[in-house]
Amino acid sequence: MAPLLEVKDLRTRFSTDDGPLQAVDGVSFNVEPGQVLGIVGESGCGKSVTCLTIMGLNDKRSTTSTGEVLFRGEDLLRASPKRLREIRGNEIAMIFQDPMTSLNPVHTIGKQLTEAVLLHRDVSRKQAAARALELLEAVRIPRAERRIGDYPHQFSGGMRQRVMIAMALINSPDVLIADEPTTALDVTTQAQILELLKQLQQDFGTAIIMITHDLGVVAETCDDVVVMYSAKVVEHAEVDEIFERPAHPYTWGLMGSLPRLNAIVDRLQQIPGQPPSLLNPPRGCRFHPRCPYTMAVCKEKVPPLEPHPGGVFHEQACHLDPATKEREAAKLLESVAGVGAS
Amino acid sequence: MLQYLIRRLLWAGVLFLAVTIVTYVIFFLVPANPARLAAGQSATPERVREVEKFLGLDQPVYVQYGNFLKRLVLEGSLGQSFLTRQSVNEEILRAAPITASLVFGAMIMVLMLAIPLGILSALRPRSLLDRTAMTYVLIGISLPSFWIGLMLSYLIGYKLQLTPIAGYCEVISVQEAAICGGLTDWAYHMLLPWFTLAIVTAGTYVRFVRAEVMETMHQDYVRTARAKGAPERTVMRSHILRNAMLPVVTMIGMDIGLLLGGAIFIEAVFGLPGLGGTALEAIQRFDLPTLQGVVIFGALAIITLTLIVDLLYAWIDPRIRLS
Amino acid sequence: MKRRIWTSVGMTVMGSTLLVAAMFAGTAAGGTAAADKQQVKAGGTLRIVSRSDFDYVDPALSYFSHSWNMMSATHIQLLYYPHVEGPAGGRLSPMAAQGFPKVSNGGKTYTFTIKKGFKFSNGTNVTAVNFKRAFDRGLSKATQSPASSFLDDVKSYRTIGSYQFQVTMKKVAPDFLSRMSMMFFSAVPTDAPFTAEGIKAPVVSAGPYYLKEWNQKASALVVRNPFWKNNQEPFKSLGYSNNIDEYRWIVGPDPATQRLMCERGEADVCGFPPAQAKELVDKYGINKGRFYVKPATTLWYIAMNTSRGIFQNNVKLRQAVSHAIDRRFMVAQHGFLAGKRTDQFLPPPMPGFKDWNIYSVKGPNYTRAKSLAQGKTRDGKAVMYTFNTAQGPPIAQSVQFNLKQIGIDVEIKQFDRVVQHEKAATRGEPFDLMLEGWGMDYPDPSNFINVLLDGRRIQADNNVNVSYFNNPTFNARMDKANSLSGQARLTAYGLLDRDIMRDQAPVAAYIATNARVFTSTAVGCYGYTSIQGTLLTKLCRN
Repeated sequence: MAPLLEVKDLRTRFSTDDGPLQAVDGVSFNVEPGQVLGIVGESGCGKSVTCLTIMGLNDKRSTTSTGEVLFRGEDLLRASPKRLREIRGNEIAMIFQDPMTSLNPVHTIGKQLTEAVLLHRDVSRKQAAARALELLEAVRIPRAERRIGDYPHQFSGGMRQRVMIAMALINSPDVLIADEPTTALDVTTQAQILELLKQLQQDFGTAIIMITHDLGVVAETCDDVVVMYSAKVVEHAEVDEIFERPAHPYTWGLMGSLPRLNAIVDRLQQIPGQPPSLLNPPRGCRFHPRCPYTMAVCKEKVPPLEPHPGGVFHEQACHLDPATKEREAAKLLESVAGVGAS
Repeated sequence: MLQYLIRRLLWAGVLFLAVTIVTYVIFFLVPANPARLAAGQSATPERVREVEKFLGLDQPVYVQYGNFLKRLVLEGSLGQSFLTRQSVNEEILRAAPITASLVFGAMIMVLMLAIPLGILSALRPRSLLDRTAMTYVLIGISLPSFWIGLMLSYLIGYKLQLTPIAGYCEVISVQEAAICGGLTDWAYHMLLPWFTLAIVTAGTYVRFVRAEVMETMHQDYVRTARAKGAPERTVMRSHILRNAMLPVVTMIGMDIGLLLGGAIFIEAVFGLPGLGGTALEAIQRFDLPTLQGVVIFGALAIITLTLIVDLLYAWIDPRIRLS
Repeated sequence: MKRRIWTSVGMTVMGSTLLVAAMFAGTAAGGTAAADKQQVKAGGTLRIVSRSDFDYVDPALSYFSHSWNMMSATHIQLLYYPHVEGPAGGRLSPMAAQGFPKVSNGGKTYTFTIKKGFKFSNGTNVTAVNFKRAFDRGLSKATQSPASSFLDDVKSYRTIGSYQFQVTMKKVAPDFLSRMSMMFFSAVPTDAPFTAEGIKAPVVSAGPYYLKEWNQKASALVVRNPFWKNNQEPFKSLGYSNNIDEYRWIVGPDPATQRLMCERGEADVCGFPPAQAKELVDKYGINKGRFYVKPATTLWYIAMNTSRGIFQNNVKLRQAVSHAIDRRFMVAQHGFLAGKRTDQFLPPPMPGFKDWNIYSVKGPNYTRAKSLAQGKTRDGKAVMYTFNTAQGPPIAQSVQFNLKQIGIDVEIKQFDRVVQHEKAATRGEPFDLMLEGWGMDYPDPSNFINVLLDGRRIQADNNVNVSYFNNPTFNARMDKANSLSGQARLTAYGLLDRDIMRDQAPVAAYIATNARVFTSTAVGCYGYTSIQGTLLTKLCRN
């Protein structure tokens, strides 16, 4: 089966007052129908920009994008604005991080939902409203028929995110891009939302791109995961594979810094240092200033994204030899026993 | 809501008292005798004393104020002008609609001018259009309104003869003595005054609209709207403007209230017989009752309009309405 | 060499002054002649534009000069000052009265006989009761009329039959007849109410026109009195042309706008910003049509406080001041052609005026001033009050400079005009010099000299004698002059003017103002007297 979405060597550059900023620097991945792909990384690594580029939501005047984004064979980067508008909210939908600010405060949620329908379907208002109600019930808003006339500020954060999800799925898109959908919510609500997303994904058959900085979320929900660092992909594999055999020092750092319930530690392990400035990234491997395993070559040569031996799909970009990687990975997993794919 | 209204009305009452007391105090602080002015230069001392008695100026100030309040509350009357002995109520009722027509007409022009300009500037920040607009704004808020009025009156009215130089025409019940009248005459004569007042006021609004639109443009829900596939037109109208214009409503209300007190300069330049002219003459001729009348009307206008605007805002912003 | 230059400068100045004076004299005499030369078109409307509205249209209450100007066309009085330029316009003459009244009772009783034939605009005849009604209203407490100040010395009045009106005074007051020309004493209908608010338009009156409509702060309309027959007696001998059918007043526009309106023909008689006077003269000339300059009767002067401080009992110093001030500069501050330099108390158009040439009107005469001031400057300090707008500050500074040359340091204090006026009127206010002005109420010299210089009228406040001048000899002379009539009266006042100003110098006068009017091309037959203002009964359209 052909992939639903093919991102090939995507590069996005912003022109800022301080100079050009390469926010996405050669990102490639595929999304299959019904698949959940996670994109994980620190703030500013380019994961959100990648998805905004897919949707064409960057500011046109200051953004240049190269590469290809093939949606069912159609290159979205070269599509007309009209075509993009047809696709957005219809075939590809996106939900955002902060549900408190992502809904228009002066329109009822009913109106915003029906708007989403009427933009893409030639139906009457009543039919659109009925559809909106359907979705509200699907996302499990209690007493949906009463709440459909309420305003966003009358809902809690978790409820609002459900409404956002309803709005995104209302036209049965093939791809849902979820940009850190639970980051702004408390842990309990987070679990509920993730549960909901999994359910809906099965019911609707939608593919999901889950952007997150939280490996826990990835473990919960994703089939495949892309690890990004400083506008580049540093590791890409199936979830089980990456949790059992992580093959990049950054991924090790991410896993090591997860809080654990079943171990007593004095301090959370951090990855030392700060993410590099994208205006002036380091030479060679961008992670080398913070990497405990830096070698001379890391400072000169950008490590290419290459397969990791093992028989399954696993790409990584690191100069370390495979044997060292296996060894270090095993050491790490021992110390974080208890966390991982279950 | 009722509690809110009652509180506002009580507060309005307090404001009234404060405003009227201050007017009285300032008036009587100035060392001039209104009775002497009203009596004329050749009045005998007895005559001046007679006039003082007639105008109630022989009483202590607080007694005069008490009488004024009593008359206002019990009879709803603002008294009679020291100078012309006409009912101040009548004078205010005559002049207020003229000022109101000036202010409302100008506000409409302001909105027609400032909103599109502000939006366009926000959409294209630092473009040539934006820079030109901001320069115009700076000029508009810096230049005195009477200078602009005189220049326009001279250039457009006198030199180019596109509009009348000055004057006011009644819309309805046109008198025989009037040299013009009727709707077209009225509008024709109001064009320059509206335009002058609009130029002066629009500057602040362009800046304000620009700032509001720029801020709203970057809100998350605007991004959501685009992510839904909404065309720019809808995004602008239903999402950006619908939110950005809310504070503009408040500002308009306040401005109208302030201007209703008398757009003095514009009225003076174009010879419009509105509250501005009434106030100016009352000040120059020490006509306390008329002055007090205009002050009260101005205060009333501001208080009422801010109240209306607050209620309106509460109604159109669901976050306030339903809290 | 220097002296020769100054001589030539002096001669040029003198020459131009004479030229200007000649122009005025020429217009006074030849004004009517010029009018005859123009094509007189009958009929039409003229529009007069005014910054401020009439105060009242009720003759009992109205006091503004432009209200009186309107009433000069709509009302009739027993006596009037004819609507002609020149000396005839300054001679009190009978109007509704048949000749001057019969004087009896030792000069205290006047009996007027009313001409038959005048009619109100509603057709009723004008009889003696209509003049009595004016008196009733003037004195009524219910009306609160300013006229009561001018009827203070009236003992009683009555009608005798239908056509005789008799007034008895408390004491002899020869200026009484002149007072009768004031608008307060116009004929009014017998049902004219006693109301403090004043009657409104339409106003029933007996003049050649009547006020048909008055929209306050907006407009007014004056139209012909259908019962006035200009080619018959008693109307004919008044000499009115009454060419214009209607006069309309436009109220509101400021001077700059007014000027533009008359340029464009949107109005016919206008004001203008004083600063534009020179430009208008350059463009239209003086009294050649469009721009008119006519003598008026307002005097501006520097009053010296004779009741205290440096000027008390100090005649020589006061005279020195009158020699030291620079009248040319001071007049220039009022504007181009704003007035005529003077050093006397009676303004030139006032009946009784004679030019005595007492002080220098050309410029300061420091030689004379210094010699007079020698040893008289006491502590050398003086305080001058002035107002803070228009010519107030520069004139004060000019005086300050001039007086410095004769050894006096002047401290200037500026006030709002109304406040300054109030302070001037308060006895005991600590000033030495005061910039003040006085406009005539009616054209009798007593209205200046007795009112402004009689020391017995001084009280705690509301004073108009702002030099607080109280000289018993001159008080007695004022009484004497005021008891005379006819030429004797005028001569006596002319001498009083000279003697007070020369021998006592309580004030240093500097300007008698002009009226300056700008008209559109439509206005012809323009005439103006300081008493009536623009002669509405004489204008015509071109």
